[in-house]
Amino acid sequence: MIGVVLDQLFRRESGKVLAGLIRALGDFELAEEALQEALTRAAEIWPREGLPDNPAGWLTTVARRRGLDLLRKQRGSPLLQGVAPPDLPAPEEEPEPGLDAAARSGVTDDRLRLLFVCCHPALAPAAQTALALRTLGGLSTREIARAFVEPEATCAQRLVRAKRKILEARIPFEVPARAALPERLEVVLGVVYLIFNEGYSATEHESLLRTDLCAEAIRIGRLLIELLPEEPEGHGLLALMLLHHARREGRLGPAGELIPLEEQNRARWDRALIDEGTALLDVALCLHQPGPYQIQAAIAALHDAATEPALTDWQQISALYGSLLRFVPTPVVELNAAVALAMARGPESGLLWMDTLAEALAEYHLLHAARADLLRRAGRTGEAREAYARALELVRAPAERAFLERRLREL
Amino acid sequence: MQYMVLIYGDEQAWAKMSQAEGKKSMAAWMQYTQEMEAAGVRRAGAPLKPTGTATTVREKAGKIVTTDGPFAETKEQLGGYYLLEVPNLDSALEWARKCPGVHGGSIEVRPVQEIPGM
Repeated sequence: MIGVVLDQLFRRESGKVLAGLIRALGDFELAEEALQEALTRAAEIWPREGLPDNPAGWLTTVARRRGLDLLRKQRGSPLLQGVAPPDLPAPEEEPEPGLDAAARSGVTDDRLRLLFVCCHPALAPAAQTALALRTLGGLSTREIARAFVEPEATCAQRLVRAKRKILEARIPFEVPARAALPERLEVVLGVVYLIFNEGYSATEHESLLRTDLCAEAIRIGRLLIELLPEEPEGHGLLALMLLHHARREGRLGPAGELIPLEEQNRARWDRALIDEGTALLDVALCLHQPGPYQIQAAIAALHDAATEPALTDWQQISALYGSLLRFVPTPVVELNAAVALAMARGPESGLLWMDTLAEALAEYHLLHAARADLLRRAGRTGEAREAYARALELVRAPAERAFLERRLREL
Repeated sequence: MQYMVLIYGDEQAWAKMSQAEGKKSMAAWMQYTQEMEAAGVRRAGAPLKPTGTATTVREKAGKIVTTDGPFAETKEQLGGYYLLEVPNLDSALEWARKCPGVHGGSIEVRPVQEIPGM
């Protein structure tokens, strides 16, 4: 019982507790070790004496004390004197924030600093995401490895290497200065969106964890716009996440199977989130600097605004995909654009476009699934059947497989 | 904390510069170095003569052997360095971005392993 409580608490609070510890101790690995020991002590003490009023605070205090002990021991060791960690701030002392706005608005959240450290361009892109998922999302190395479809040892090694570089090259634990912000923000937004997507489509994970990850990504998104109110893409990303998250209840059937947009019960969509996302998008658009997140949010908003599938403004969505392609000219975006065009002008125009993508996306199950759907709509049943069969050969997630099998049966 | 800023570039291109280009380039390096001095971050630094002047010493079969070279086999060669004293990697990278050698070359930033008595 206490194990379950601890596990849930760790998932919920680990980002916050760990971020504070990393700042106080100046060392990722040491902070993780200290937190691990605090959790072990909690598992001994809490069942006996009951849960403290502020479990996260309790963990922080115990872990910090333990971390400082470990640090003193490390510094005392003659072997390690040369690689002493950065100067320690006094435990309660706030370090100088890198950004004036942070101090003014009172946003000096350690998790935000941690996010910028994890997303530092001096770290390899794969390491950035893995580190953010590990430290802010509270995912285990095994879960991250599963999400990246790679051996656990590879993932563990990548994390160790990144943490060592942060310590030894002294990557600062702070939000960067304004001049360096645009370059840094692009990476940060990308990683936050990846965390959200991991929660949104992590079909192999239990549902609790998924919601946690989406909520964490949204929470960080809120923090980003509070800190950077003039960055339109920050607003765009938060709007995009909210507008997708609003559909979570309608997206999965009772058996966990994926329900396509046009079959979802739209009454189950979260109107409050849709309103909030739409309002945020309006704020972003007023800043007159369009970007990929704003455009994707606008597409999501148009879907959310349609009270029934037939009322979807596909003309507008198709035009927005055209704009998105200018920012993100990839075959996958083209595929989405082709689907939107088909919905706006009829299946044949979309099918013609998809023919040009056949080579680039030959192994991508969604190309075949999208083709199959358009062939079905065009009444070309034989070809649709073949395309569904090809998609089923390539698909991996069970929820998507179940959906494709149903479509094939219904032909 | 100290960082070594290693400047790589095509030494052939440097050699082929016209007099006017050379003068302009030199002025940029002088100004950059003075900025570092004014900020109080420069501990050392100098350009290096071309790789044709390099000599290598290594152990071979238990004997210390001296050889000519190494010669430039890659496109970019080490052409100079600065040793900086700055608070963290971001400050070091900021200086690296401003380095004239970044145009047409690359700058490697490495933290110095500080060991007392060494």
